[in-house]
Amino acid sequence: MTAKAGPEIRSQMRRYIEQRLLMKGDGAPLHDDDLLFTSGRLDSLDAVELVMSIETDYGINFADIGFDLTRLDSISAIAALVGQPSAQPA
Amino acid sequence: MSIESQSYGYTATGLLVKPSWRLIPQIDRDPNLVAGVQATRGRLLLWCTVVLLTVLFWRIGVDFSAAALAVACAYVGRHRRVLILLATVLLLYRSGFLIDRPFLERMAVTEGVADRIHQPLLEAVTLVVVLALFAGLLVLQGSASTALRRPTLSLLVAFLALLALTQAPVMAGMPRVLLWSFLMTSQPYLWFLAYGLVDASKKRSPVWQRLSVFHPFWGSSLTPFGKGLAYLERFEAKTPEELAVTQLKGVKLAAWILVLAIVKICLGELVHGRLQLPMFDDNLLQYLAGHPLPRLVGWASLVSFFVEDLLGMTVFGGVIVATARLAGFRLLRNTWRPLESTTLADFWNRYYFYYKELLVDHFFYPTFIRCFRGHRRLRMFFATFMAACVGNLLFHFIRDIHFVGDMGLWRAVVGEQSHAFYTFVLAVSVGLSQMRRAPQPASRGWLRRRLLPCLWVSTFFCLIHVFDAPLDREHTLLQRGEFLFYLLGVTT
Repeated sequence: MTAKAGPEIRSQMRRYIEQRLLMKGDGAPLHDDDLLFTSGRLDSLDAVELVMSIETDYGINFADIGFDLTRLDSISAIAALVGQPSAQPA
Repeated sequence: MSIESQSYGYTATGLLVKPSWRLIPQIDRDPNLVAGVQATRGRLLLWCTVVLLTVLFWRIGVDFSAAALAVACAYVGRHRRVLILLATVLLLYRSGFLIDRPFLERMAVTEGVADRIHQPLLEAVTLVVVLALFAGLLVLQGSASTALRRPTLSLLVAFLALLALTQAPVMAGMPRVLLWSFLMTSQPYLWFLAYGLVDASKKRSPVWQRLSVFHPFWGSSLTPFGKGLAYLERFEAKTPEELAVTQLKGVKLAAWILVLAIVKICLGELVHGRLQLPMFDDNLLQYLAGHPLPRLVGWASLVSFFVEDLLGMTVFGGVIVATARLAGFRLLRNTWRPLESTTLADFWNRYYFYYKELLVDHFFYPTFIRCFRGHRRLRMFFATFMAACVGNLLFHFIRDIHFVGDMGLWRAVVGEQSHAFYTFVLAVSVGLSQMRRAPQPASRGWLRRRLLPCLWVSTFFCLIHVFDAPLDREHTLLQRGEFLFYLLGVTT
């Protein structure tokens, strides 16, 4: 992830997650480090949608990097996951 | 998993909805109380409240005695992990380390070696062997060179292979007894080990700390409440304020569970005492014996079972979660307003959260990231099927392996036909429900958007309960199907 891409990924993820939270009736403020799954604000079905979205948009294969929900547990964590070189498609 | 998210009290528009009255006050949101509980007098008051709740629970036959241990664990600071280990060992010792001793004694008699075995000594030795094996596996999984890539799958294959081996003629006599002893000792901890192995490959922690939450003292079934150490650490209170809020949440939950436990007792007394409504299983037995009770009675007992089961699950999980919170772990609730579910998947999520999480963590995600990656809907459906049907069935088969010892492998497998049908219908229905998952437009109105979907979900789970009988290996799928047809008025 380049320095430019970071904020863009965060912004895209924020929009996506805020939309899912609103669908669940959760309009509470969302910060980059707020826990999404551990706090219970998002559930396993949201995780699945998020995985599919990341796979499609960023070409990441979770079967290769190993699935770990903690790496999707906040906007910051997702941005870090998407940005790390080992997660990028060859 | 949306358990606590919905308690934030926000609507889709972001407006805060404040209920005007609450039976259990929100003590965890009162700044004065949160500050007070951090002081010595406040802690003493909290401890007295916990003792009072324990006594009240005891009066209605619910064990909340681990709560006092939990409060002690919460206040020992950096020694918390040690105390958790000691408390867990103490309570496991009290319950015989969850080993099915009558079964093992029966097996020794059947195999003709009872006079050559000192059962308590065999249990103790097997327990040491199992713990050493678990510790070894956790250590190996923590090393990149020896870690299993699919720990849960490997574990299940090994366990089921050993189970099949018990049926081999060559194992007759002492070998079979020893093998069963090993299986029955390790079985209560199998899913804890599965979580432990997954955790160990991601993060280093002392093995004794991982083992200390294998059936932690706050309670559990074979389903780990609080999963493994890594999950618990994320929920552990890190500051005195967090601890105070977590403990107040524990007290609040315990008080609410006490109310529900009393409601459950009153409901049982009303329905089965005053109204003389038979239990659902008695209805089935009466029908199969050729003396069916009136259809209305059958429906009433099915609905009453459903409601009592929901209350029972809420109380069972609530006591465990409340105790964990008192120990400083802010776990999500196990059952949370299941009757408000508008989809089948949502109900499963709200009814038995930690069991659903087990199936999702060990069956759904591993399948989802590997299979049918190019087919969005098929991928989701297949992963759901692997969790809700295959995982669900395997979990119960392993939970009830004593049937294999008592009936033989083939009869135990065939006897699970009705439950297999239940998991199949459940998996297909939840899978379809997930694929259709979409927000309901507000224009549809409360009746069509909320009430009717909720009623449909409850009716569905009521109906398929007829087949949900993992402990019944005697009655066939056909017999249960006939009973359902009778209830539906298709047959007489």
